[in-house]
Amino acid sequence: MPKLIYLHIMADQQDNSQSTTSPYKRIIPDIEDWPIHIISKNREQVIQSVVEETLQNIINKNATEKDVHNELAKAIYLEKIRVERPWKTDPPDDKKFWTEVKNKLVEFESHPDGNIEAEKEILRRIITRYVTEIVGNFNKGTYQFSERFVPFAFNRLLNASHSRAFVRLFGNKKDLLKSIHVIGEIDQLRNLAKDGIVVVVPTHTSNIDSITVGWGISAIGLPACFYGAGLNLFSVRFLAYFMNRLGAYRVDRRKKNAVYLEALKTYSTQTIYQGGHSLFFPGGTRSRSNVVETQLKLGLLGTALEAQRRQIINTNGEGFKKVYVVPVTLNYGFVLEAPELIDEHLRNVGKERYFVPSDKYSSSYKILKFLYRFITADADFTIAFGRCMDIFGNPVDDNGNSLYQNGNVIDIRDYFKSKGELKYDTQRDAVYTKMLSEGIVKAFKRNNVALPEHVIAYAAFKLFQQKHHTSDLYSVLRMPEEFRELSKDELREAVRKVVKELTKLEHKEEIRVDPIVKAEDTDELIDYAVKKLGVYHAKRPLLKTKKGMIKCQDMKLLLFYHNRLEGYGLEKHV
Amino acid sequence: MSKKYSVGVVGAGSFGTAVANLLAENNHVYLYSRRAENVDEIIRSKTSSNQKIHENITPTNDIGLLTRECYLIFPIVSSDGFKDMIRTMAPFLRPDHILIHGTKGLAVKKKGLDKLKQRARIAGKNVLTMSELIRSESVVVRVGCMAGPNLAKEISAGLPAATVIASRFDEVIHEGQMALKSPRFQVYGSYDIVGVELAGVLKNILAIGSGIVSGLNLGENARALLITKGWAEIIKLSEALGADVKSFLGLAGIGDIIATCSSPNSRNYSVGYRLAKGETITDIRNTMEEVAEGINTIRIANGLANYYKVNCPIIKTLAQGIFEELDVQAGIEYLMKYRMSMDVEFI
Repeated sequence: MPKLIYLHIMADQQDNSQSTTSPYKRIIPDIEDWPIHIISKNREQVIQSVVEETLQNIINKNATEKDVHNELAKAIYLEKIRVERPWKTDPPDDKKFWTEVKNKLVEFESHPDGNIEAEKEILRRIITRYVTEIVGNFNKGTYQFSERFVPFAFNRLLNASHSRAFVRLFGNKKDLLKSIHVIGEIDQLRNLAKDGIVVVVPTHTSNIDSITVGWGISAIGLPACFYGAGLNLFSVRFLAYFMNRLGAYRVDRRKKNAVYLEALKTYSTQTIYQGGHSLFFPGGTRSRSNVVETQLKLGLLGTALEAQRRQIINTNGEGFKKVYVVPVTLNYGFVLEAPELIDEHLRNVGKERYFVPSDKYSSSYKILKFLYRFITADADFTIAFGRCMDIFGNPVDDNGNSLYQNGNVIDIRDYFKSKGELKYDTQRDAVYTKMLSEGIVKAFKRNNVALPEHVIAYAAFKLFQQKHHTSDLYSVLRMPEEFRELSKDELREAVRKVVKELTKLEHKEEIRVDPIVKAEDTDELIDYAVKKLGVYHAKRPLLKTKKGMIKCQDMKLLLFYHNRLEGYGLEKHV
Repeated sequence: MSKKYSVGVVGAGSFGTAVANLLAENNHVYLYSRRAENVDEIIRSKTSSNQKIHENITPTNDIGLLTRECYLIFPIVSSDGFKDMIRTMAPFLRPDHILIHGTKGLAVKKKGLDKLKQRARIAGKNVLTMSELIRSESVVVRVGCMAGPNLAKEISAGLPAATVIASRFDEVIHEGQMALKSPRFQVYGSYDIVGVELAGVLKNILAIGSGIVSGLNLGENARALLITKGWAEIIKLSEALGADVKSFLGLAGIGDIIATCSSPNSRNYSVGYRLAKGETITDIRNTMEEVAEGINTIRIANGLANYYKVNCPIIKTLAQGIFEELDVQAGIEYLMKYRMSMDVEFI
């Protein structure tokens, strides 16, 4: 059974070189020795190296000069479309730049001979522009400031709210009184991050995920990670200031052309290869339905594999650094953007069957307001670090050895060999990346933490479905308000069954269960969770009525929180 | 020019020997048999499973030697013995080994076995194809399977034939093709390993059914009816298990059906034939030299159909006929009265 580790807030043990919230010392005490600091020191050199490799990769991947030309033309065409609807973060000369390169390309097209070198120059200009945008920075001072600021914010949340429930449920247990839920295989991770390269891959539901997980990484004493943040987040000046200096690099999801993607992947590969711990959300985007990700994007995961392959081949298999993948599950009892996410999800899957009401939740919220809401919201959250795995999805022991089912050690160099020799094979690597993504998906499911809010939402939604006598989700969602009530007795019965089944699953290491869920008194659990579930939503997913009934004000939100426990076969037990 | 390595075949049954002989035309081959006395006998008589062995074949009982000398290995043993075989090999295997199996059977996890026996139900997660078994019991990832109309007797007689090698890895398909292909043997490739495995496995159900049709002299119309409709059931069932329909139209599907459902050389066909002639399944099992995979496959397929609620009247009737001693005439009557709907609904 993986042990649960609680980080105790030790306000009396403040130490200026250390985050105030964590008993974990930094594994590398001086920030100047951190890989991210060392790699980021010479930004110009990083940019140049990424540009040259990207250019070479594009030339290598396209068999003929004509193919290179087509790739270039396609990228310019797509960019011309993009600049018609600019974002605030786009550079002011964007339109001018793309018109210029387009004209240049047209000019060369009219000269049938000898334009490959000239086209290469255009390509280099474009790549340089992309890479300069992508490559992040890391600033020691900003890191130190944010390290103090973010825990302050989190402490407020925890001291102000979470602990109250503990008081009620656990009486005077002071140990748990001031706890934050950072759980999982932290010792192993700390140990392996000293000599190896760590790639953190969290689940993704909320815009604040990068802050939460970034804080979690700092709290357990790990050096900061390189991480890809959506360009849209940089439009908030306050956030941009921090992200620009904390190792965040910019990922623009609008740019889907091969040149841009190659530049992004090359940058990621180079940083990981050079030993920079990295973080990316392998789901690619927030899980609209709140279901734990089952399909991952393979692009950035592939860069971790590529970095490991380079480490092995370039050292000829001797003294290489090992890349460890760490699945992290983030769970919230309250997701501010839930109404929008679930609406988008239903629109995507339901197509015309789903009627979207016109008075839609406003989408113009600002990240800051959002952060403030999260910090002051009375909601649970956990960060669960899973066991490290190697780049092929095999589990690793505490010394970093890759293992397979019967506990034997695997020499990972063999994965890159053919007939005994280290060999490059892109198709093989693509299958390996798929294998890794399958391993991560399984780990996400195992590490998912059933919070009180999820349990109650799950039980209530399933009861409504049963009452409605139909399997059609959309008609359940449109259930008239007068039917959307449950008695405490029926809810208690359902919750009890769900908890019983969850406990069994936890025993088999198929999920993690929050301690509050396992507390003996189901009524207290229900009171606690109903009160907390989606507390800041305009319409509450669940609410206690004056007559003591449990009422649902928003079926879609209830579905959203319920979804976190989908995929475990719990429905058979409600 | 890189060193040329030997190729291994694990299992010296009739199909294993036939494949070893094919491989020996291009490579040096180690042919492994579990029993030392069998290896001695093959060396002495230069014959394995009634087939003369090629001079490039070295019979061996040493699995360590075979895994050391060969990167490419073809495990070809019955599904009953497959798990033991892979467990014996596992300590010697590495991620750069390539395993292409030729076994047309399924393995059932212990957890699922009881439910299958008691309630004739089994979930897909408790049934493993041989490639899944290799993945779960060893460190090998470069896994493939070979399937197609490959009757061992015809291959060993040197008649022309073809097979399909399915794997997620190009390297596996390529290495398999290079090792096997010859002027009398064509090798195709596929990425749909689950589909190709299931097609090869499940077609044995129809081979048994086809043998019954012959034994009872029900005629060619009845055989065509059984195969066409039975195949539709199999495709629906396989789709529920995540396979691609396309593979069922290829060599491992239609190709193998045509060969096995009409040939008395097929073991499964002869099981059906003897059943129709009044022998019991126990008698038949006891007197066969090698395992007819189809018998177990019928039970598993019926369990899967029940679990996933896929309507499979032909599979169900065959299962009842074999395991519950349903009278053959009653079975035929049931099927002929069964309310059928539209003809082709699976594509």
